[in-house]
This record gives sequence, C-alpha cells and structure tokens, in this order.
Amino acid sequence: MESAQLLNLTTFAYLASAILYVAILIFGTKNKTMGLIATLVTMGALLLSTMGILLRWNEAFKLGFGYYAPFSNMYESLVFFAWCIALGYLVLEYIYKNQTLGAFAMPFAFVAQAFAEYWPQWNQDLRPLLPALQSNWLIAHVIASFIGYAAFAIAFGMAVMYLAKARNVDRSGNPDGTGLFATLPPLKVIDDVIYKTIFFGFVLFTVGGLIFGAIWANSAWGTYWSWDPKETWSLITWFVYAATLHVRYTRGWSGKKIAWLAVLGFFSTVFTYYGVNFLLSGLHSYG
Amino acid sequence: MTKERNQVWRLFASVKLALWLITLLAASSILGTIIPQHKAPEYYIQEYGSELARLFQVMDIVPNMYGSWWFVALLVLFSINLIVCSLDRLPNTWRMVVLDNLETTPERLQKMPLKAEMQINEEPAAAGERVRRLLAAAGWKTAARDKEGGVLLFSQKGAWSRLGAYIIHISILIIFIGALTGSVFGYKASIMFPEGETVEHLFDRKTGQPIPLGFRLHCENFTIGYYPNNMVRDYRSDVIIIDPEMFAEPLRTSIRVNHPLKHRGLTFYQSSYQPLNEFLIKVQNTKTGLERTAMVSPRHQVTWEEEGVVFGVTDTMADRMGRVHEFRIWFDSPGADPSTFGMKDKQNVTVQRPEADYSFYVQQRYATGLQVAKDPGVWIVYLGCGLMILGLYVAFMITHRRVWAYLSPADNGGSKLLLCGGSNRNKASFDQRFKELAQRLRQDQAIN
Repeated sequence: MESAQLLNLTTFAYLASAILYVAILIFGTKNKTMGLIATLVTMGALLLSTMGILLRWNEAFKLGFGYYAPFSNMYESLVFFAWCIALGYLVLEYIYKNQTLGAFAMPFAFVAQAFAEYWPQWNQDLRPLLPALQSNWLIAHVIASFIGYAAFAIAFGMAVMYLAKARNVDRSGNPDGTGLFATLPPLKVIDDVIYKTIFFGFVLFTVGGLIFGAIWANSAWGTYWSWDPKETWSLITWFVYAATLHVRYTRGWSGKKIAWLAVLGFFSTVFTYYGVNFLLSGLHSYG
Repeated sequence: MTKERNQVWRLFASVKLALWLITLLAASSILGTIIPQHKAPEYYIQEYGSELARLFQVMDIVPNMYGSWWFVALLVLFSINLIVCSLDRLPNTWRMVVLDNLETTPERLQKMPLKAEMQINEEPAAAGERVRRLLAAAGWKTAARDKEGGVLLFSQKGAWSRLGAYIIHISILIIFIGALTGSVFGYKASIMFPEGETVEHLFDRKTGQPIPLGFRLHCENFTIGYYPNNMVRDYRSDVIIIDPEMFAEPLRTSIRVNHPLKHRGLTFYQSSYQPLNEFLIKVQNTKTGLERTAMVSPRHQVTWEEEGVVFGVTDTMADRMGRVHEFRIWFDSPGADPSTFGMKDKQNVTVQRPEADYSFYVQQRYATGLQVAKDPGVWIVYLGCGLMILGLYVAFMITHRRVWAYLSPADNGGSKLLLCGGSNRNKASFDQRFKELAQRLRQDQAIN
C-alpha cells in the first residue's frame, strides 16, 4: 500500500463521515446506530489519514531525503489541515456528546482533503526539503499553526450553526428553535463552543504560527519579522481574534456578534493560509 | 489631576480605542501586502501610473509602509494605549488577587452562584475542624476565622491567574522594545567572497558602506550538497575565524542554511553563492607521489616544471546558474602526445602515461554570499515571546477558583454548614467540581 492510495481513500472516508453527520442532522439523533457508525467512520478516516501521513514520511526516508517533515508543501499541509479538523471534531463530540456538531465540522475536513487530492495546481510528488525548510522549528511551527487553523475552521462551522439557529429562533419565537434547529444544541452551548475553540486556536496560533515562525525565520534568514505578506496576514488574523477575545472579556459581547467575528476571522485565516500564496508574493511561497 | 488630563487618560484607557487602533493597524497592514514593498521607484510608476505612484510616495506607502511615520505612530499609540489600559485596570485586578476573602459576610456568601447547605451534629468549632480536614483531603487548604458566632473557612486556587492578561500585554511591549533595540543598535549587512579569501569588512545592506568586522573571516570551501534526484540539499561554507583576541588558534567551523554562525554579537547566515570561472586542479604523479595544485582559468595552461608536465582546462559545460558539471582537460607529459579528456566536478580521474600514472582532481571555485545581522534586541524579543507563552497559559488555562465554608450554630446544638464558591472562567467545569466536593462532604458520617 502506498501513502497516495491511503490518502485518496481518506477523501472518501471524510465524505462518508460528512454525509452521515448531515443525515443525522436532518433525520434526527434518535437513531443510535447511525450515530455510532458516523463516529466510527470518522475515526476510521482519521486512522487512514494518520497512516497515509506516516507512510509518506517513511517513503521520503526510503528515498534518501534524510531530514523530512510531511508538512512541507500545499498538498501536505491541506492533508494535515483536514486531519486536524477531524481530530478536533472528535474531541468536541466527546466533550459535548452532541453529534449535530459534525454536520458543521466534517464537511470542512472533506473539502480540505478533496482540495488537496483533486486540485490540479498542487504537486503531490514527494520532493526533498529545500535547505531553508530543514529545521525542527518547521515541524513545531507547522503543526501548531495548523491545529490553530483547524480550531478556527471549527469555530467558523459552529458560528454558521449559531447564526442559522439564531435566525430560526428569531423567526419562530421559540427559544429552542423549531424542526431540525431544535435538535441543535442550545444557543448558549454553541456560543460556548465558539468561544472555547477560538481561544484554543488563538493560543496555538500565537505560539506556533507567530512565535515559532519568528524563531525559525530568524535562524534561516536572520530576521524574525520582515513584514512579508504571509507574516503580515497572520498578524491581521491574530488581530481579528485578539479583538474578538477582548470584546468578549471587556465588553461582554456574545452570541451573534461573536459568531460574526468568528466568520470574519476564518476568512482572514483562509486568506493567510491560501490567498497569500497565490495572490501575493513573498518568502512563504512553499505553503 | 486636571479634568483635561483625566480625559486624555480615559481615552487611552478605553478598550474602544484599542479596538479602533487594532482595526486601523490591520486595515493598513493589508494595504502594505497588496502594494508590493521595497521596489524601485520605476516599478511603482510602471505598475500604478505616475500620479498614483506620486501619491503612494507622498503618503509614505512605498517603498516601506511598515516603517513610515504614520504606521510607526499607530504602533506608538497602540503601545501607549496598551500601557494606560493595563495601568488603569491593574489596581482593581490586584485587589482581587490579594483580597482577604475571610472579610466577607454570611449575607454575601448566601448570594454566591454555587451553594450547598448541610447539617453537622457537632458545635461549630469541632465541625469547623472536621470540614477543614475534609476540604484539605480534597485538595483545598483552608484559612479560618471566627465570624458572628461561627467559623468561616476559605480556600482558593489560581488567584494570580487574573494577572495573565497583564503578562501578555507586558510581553507585547517587551517585544516592541526588543525590535526598537535591534533597529537602533543593530544592522543588516552582507558579504560575498571567494573560496580561499579572507575578509575584514562587511557591507551595510542599506547604505553599502563598509563596516569593519573586528576580526578576520576566511572561506576555505563552499559546497553544494545534492539529493539523489539532484535537488539541492544543503549549502555549506567552511570558514575559519581568525581572531587572536578571542581564540589563540584560528577556529574552523561551518555555516549552513538554518545553522548560522555566531561570533562577537554578529550572526552569519548562508544566503547565496556565485560560481566563478576559475578551477582548482590537483595533479599527482602516482609513482613519485609528487603533487601540484593550481588555480586555472579556462584556456590558460599551467606548466609543472619539475615533471615537465603542462595542463589546462579547454572547455566547460555549465548549467544556467554557471555551475560547471563537466570539464575538458588538456594534458601533455614528456612520454606521449598531448591528449584531452573529460571529467566531472570534484572527481578523480587517472591518466595512464608510459612514464607514470597521473591522478587528476578538479573543482570549480565558488564565492559564498553571507548575510550578517547584528541584532542586540533579538534576546529581548525572545524574552517577550517566552513571557507571552507564559501569559497565554496563565490567562487561558488557569482559573481562579474560590471555596468558602461557613459553620454557624444550629438550634439543636449542632451546626449548619454553608458551602459556596465561584470561578472566573470555565464555570461549567467548576460547577461539576463543586458538586463533587459537596458530595464528598456529605459522605462523612457526621454530615448530612
């Protein structure tokens, strides 16, 4: 078995998981078997992806690449991004014991993975690391940044969920929502999930994305901060989430306002991750 | 304090201003990523037309917006805002940290968000001792005080975590101070010098002016390492530091990408290289062991008089970077007619002649390009980063949790226990822990 096949299979496993969670959302959470299958399929997808990533690492080792990290280009980083979302979602499901969250999280894992596998722009070939990328800070920087990105993606999914339910509540006048909105967690709980995933992502993104990134840049190029577009956009993203946390703490914002900030923050995240590489030029052109 | 000063202070102490400044900083930062920075004036005229280019110039958006007076002014305002905001709120927070929680009254305890009431069949003093032991066993070490005929016990965890936000704010300021230190007392410079040469000066990246190194740096060798698929794996400069004041012996070391060399407050980074049109040839008579090394240019011959041998490079095959892969060597020795043969870079080839075998080695000469940074602020920046990590941990992961137990005399000669508590965040998880604690107390035979 090659890593490419495993990672390709992962795409379908994520798709199956996403479809199952959407089905659970539509048909309700009463069918326990379907719930169990959804969780197992998600775990299976995560396992496939983990094996794919490890196998790819091993293949690089066998090809004589020496120092390698399977997070070194856009393709690999998308695969890892999807992995982080799937893991993050499973953790949420475990904590909140609510499977309706899955319909707003697993589709992102599928989209990221499918984007990695089927977008013609990426080179999926295993290529050795450029000298500048051979650093332990790279591993730390990328892993922490992507866990952060995944948390922001989940916060975005939860924000969409919140806004949809809030709209239904406003229109129906029923504080618990009507129809399938009634099966979603209470607004207060969704608000809590949004806020917690944002602060978790914020910590990881600050430490991994900004601080480890700065240390790595300093050891490779001799400047810890050069206002390169990628750096600048990660700072902008950081500002958005820092502002979100501050309005929550000091001005007591919650609910719809925080949900909209989570949406804004995620757009900024996507631009930092993807947009900068293709619309702007800079040092960070590898991913 | 005058009223005016008070208003200025209030402005800078407002989170509203902070949010505006953050929005402005973010919005203007976007501008600098859309309009490329550090380009020549002609670039902007070509891309945006002369009028827009002039406007950008006047507004200081190009060539370096992030160093422009107005962007720096925004950062300064942001720093002042950060300092004033923190100073304004610190006293209140500090009061919460050092608050004497035994000063509270039973009435106020009744209003706490988490409460549990129990009966104990002992008088308050003995019951207090019992509850103290039970709480200590559950991990809550209490302080006690007599209060209105009863006993009040109090325990808290993570009170200082309320300072986390201030640690983060201070860390941002420390990072700014580090960046300022670096830009005032440091510089960026570069040097490019060939293998076999020694330098004593750097050239400032901005002004191009020479800067004395204070020691000598010699480049022995520059090597490009390749992966099996011919992609570049490594750039390495083997250098010697000649600095009698620091080392009695010259120090041999190397500089690689991601592995800079540090010496005397300077950091040397491998950043570029230049293949030269000069080749080092080593010829050895394998019978006598005699050897001759020469640096040759293409189509210049070298005579080795002791052996009566003449050699040179007649032709080279280079890639577009100027890296030579193959050499054509011309060779003449007394025993036979002149001949030419091909060989690759850094390879040995032996040529057989009637009088002896000659071993050839050829290597292209390279110049190495180093970036040099003097940044005395970098450690301050790293200190700030470390403090920020600590602050984030304290602010987000540690919760200030408080538990009170008030024992008052009951009519039956026993006592009433009021257990109450609260936390400043993670309320749901503290709720759970509080319930478990109450449960634990109820398991005691004297309590129900």
